[in-house]
Amino acid sequence: MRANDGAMSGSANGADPIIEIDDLSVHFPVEEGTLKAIDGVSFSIAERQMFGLIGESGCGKTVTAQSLMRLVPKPGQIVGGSINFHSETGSTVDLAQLDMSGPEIRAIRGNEIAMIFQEPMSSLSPIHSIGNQLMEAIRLHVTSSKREAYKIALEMLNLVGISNPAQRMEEYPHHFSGGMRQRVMIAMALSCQPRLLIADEPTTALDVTVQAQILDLIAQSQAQFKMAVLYITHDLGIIAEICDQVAVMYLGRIVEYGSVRDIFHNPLHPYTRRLLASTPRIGQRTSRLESIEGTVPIPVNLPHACGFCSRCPDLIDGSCDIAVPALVEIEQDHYVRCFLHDSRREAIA
Amino acid sequence: MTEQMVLQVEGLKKFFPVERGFLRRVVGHVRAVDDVSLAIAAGETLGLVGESGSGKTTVGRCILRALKPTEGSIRFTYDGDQTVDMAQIDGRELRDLRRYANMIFQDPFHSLDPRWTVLDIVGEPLKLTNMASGKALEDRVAHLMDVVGLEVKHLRRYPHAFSGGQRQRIGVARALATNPRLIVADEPVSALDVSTQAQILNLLQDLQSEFGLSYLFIAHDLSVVEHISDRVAVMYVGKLVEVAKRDQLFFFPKHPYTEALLSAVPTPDPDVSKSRIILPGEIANPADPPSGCYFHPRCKYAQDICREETPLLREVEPGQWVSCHFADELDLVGAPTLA
Repeated sequence: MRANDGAMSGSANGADPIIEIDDLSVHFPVEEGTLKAIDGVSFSIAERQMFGLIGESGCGKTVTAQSLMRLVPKPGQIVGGSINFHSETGSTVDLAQLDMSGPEIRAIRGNEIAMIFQEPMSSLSPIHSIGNQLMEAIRLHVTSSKREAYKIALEMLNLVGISNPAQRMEEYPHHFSGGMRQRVMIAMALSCQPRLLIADEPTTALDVTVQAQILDLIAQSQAQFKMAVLYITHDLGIIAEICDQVAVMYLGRIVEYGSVRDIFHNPLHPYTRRLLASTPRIGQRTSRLESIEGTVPIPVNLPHACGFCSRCPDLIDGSCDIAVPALVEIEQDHYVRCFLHDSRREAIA
Repeated sequence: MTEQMVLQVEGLKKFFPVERGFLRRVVGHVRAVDDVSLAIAAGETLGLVGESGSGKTTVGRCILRALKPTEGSIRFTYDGDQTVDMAQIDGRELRDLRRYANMIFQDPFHSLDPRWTVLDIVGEPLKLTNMASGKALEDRVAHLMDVVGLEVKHLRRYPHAFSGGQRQRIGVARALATNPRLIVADEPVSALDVSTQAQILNLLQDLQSEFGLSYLFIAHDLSVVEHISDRVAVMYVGKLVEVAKRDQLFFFPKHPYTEALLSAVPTPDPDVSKSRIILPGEIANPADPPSGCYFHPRCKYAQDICREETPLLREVEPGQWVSCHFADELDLVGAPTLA
C-alpha cells in the first residue's frame, strides 16, 4: 500500500478539494521502450487554492496538466490512477476514465476546467479575429446567442485590461503584443467562469514587467471568480509570490509537497534544496552558485530507483539505487519522497 | 579611469530603415540603438539588461561588428596596447581582429550546426583566423573541451548527442578558441534549466578569472545579471537609462524604470513582502518613440518636463550615470537585502 494513501487532501486550509489526483501514470511508447512521463503522481487542489507545480523541463509537469484536461498527445496514454473532479453539481467524475473526445469531458474541458498556455500565439488562430475566437468559445460553452456572446466577450476583454475592446475584437492576433495575447487567452479562459484554471508557464515568454502585470491579473481573477488555480512553472520566484501549496516534480514523480513556507524555508528533499541553492536571488550576494551535477536522465527504461539518485550528493548506497522511496508525511502537511527522511518504499507496480 | 579599458563605445547608433511599397521607399527608421556609450575594463563584466525590443542585442552585434553601426565609435584595445575603432574598419582588417572578440549565443539548440562535429564547431574560428590546423588544431580543441568541462573523447560527436547545458559548453569553447579579450554573451543561460544555468554561470566566472576575460553579459533576467556583473547598464527603447556599479544599481537605483524592473522580479522567498510596481502599458515602439523621456508614458513620477525634454545621461553619484530629470530628487526603492 502507499504510505500517503488518502492523506494528501488539500484540506490544509479547510476548503474542500476540487480535484484529487491519485497515483496517476502517463506513459508514451517509444522505440526504445516506455517513456514514463508521469509515474505515480498524487496531489489534490482545494477550492480557491493557488497550487504551484514546479520542476525543470522534462519533469512531467506539462503532461500532468494535459492529463487533467484529457489532452495528452498520442501515443501518450493514462495507464493508471484516477483524477477525481468534484463538479459544481456535487457529483464526482473520474476524468481518467472518460473518453478523450466524448461529451462528458467536453462539458468539463474549457468550461469547468480552463487552461492557458506558455505561448499564446500558438494557441490562437492567425486567420480569425480576436473577437470571433473569443465568441466561439463563449457560444460553445455559455450561450448560443450571438449578441449575448458579443456582450460577454466585450466584458471579458475589459476585465483583463484591454482598452478599447470593441475595436480590438476586430483585430487579429498578430496585431497584439505577447502580453496582450496572454490577456486574450485569460479572457477566453475566464469567459466560461471555470472553477479550476490551469496555467502552464503563462509568463515564461514575457518580459519581467509584463509578467508582473499578468501575475497580478491572474491573482485578481482568482479572487474575483473564486476559482482554484494550478500554476505550473520552473520559476521559484513566481511560486513564492503567488502560491499557497507547492509540489516539486522530478522525473515524473512528486518528490516534495507542502505549503510554500515549508518548501522554501525548510526544504527536505535533496533536489529541492539544490534547486533553491542554484537559483540566483535578487538582492543576495553569493560568490558562487551551487549547481546540480549532471543532467536530468530521459525516463526510458530507468531502473527501479529514486529518480534523483544519479545526481544526488546525499545518496545512500544500497537504498536509493535499488528502490523508490515512498512519499511520506514527515511533518504536518509536508510530504517528502526520500530515504534520508523515511525508509518506507514505494511498492513495485 | 586608471583601469585599462578593453572596450570604449561612444555615441553608438544603429537605425534600421522601414521600407514600404513596391519601390521600397524608406518611410522611417527604427532607432534600435540611439546614442549608447559604455566602457568595459579588462577582466570586468558589464551586464546589459532590458526588455525585448530595447536594443540590447543590437548593441552586442554592433560591438562585434555583425552589424555596421550607423554612427559612433567602438574603440577596442587588443594585444596589450593596440587600439582600433571597430566601427571604421571593414573587410580583411576586421577579419584579423575577430579573434580578439567573440560571442556566446542564447540558444544552444540552434546556434550549433547539427552536421558538424564538436571538433569542426570549436575548430572553425581557429581555421578562419589561421591560428592552427591539423594536429595542432585537434590538440587545441581537445584542450578547450577539457577547460569547459566536456569529455575529450566526445571530440567527434555531433551536437544532438549533448544536453542543453553541454551544448552551451560547446558554445563557450568555440568563443574561447582564439584566446579573445572580450566575449559578448547574449542571453547565454536563458534557454537552460535552473540547475544547468548555475553550472554555466559558474563556468563563465571560472574562465574569467583564469583568462582575464571581459564580458558584455546581455540578459533580461536581473537576478542572473546581478550575480555575474561588476557593473550594470539598463536599456530602454534604444537608450541607456542607468549605468552603475552593481550594488549601486540594485540597492540604490536612481531611474524609475530600474526601480520598476527590480520590483517586478519575483523573489524566491514567501516571507519577503514587497510592493510590486505594475507599469502601465508596454515598451514604446522604437520606430515611433514618445516625446521627451521615452519612459514618461509609463512613469509614475513623470512631470511636464518629462514630456518635453529628453533627459541626458549624467553622473548623479560617482560611478552612477542616470538619464532622468529627477534623478537627484527621487527616493527610489531597490532590491530587498537578503542574507
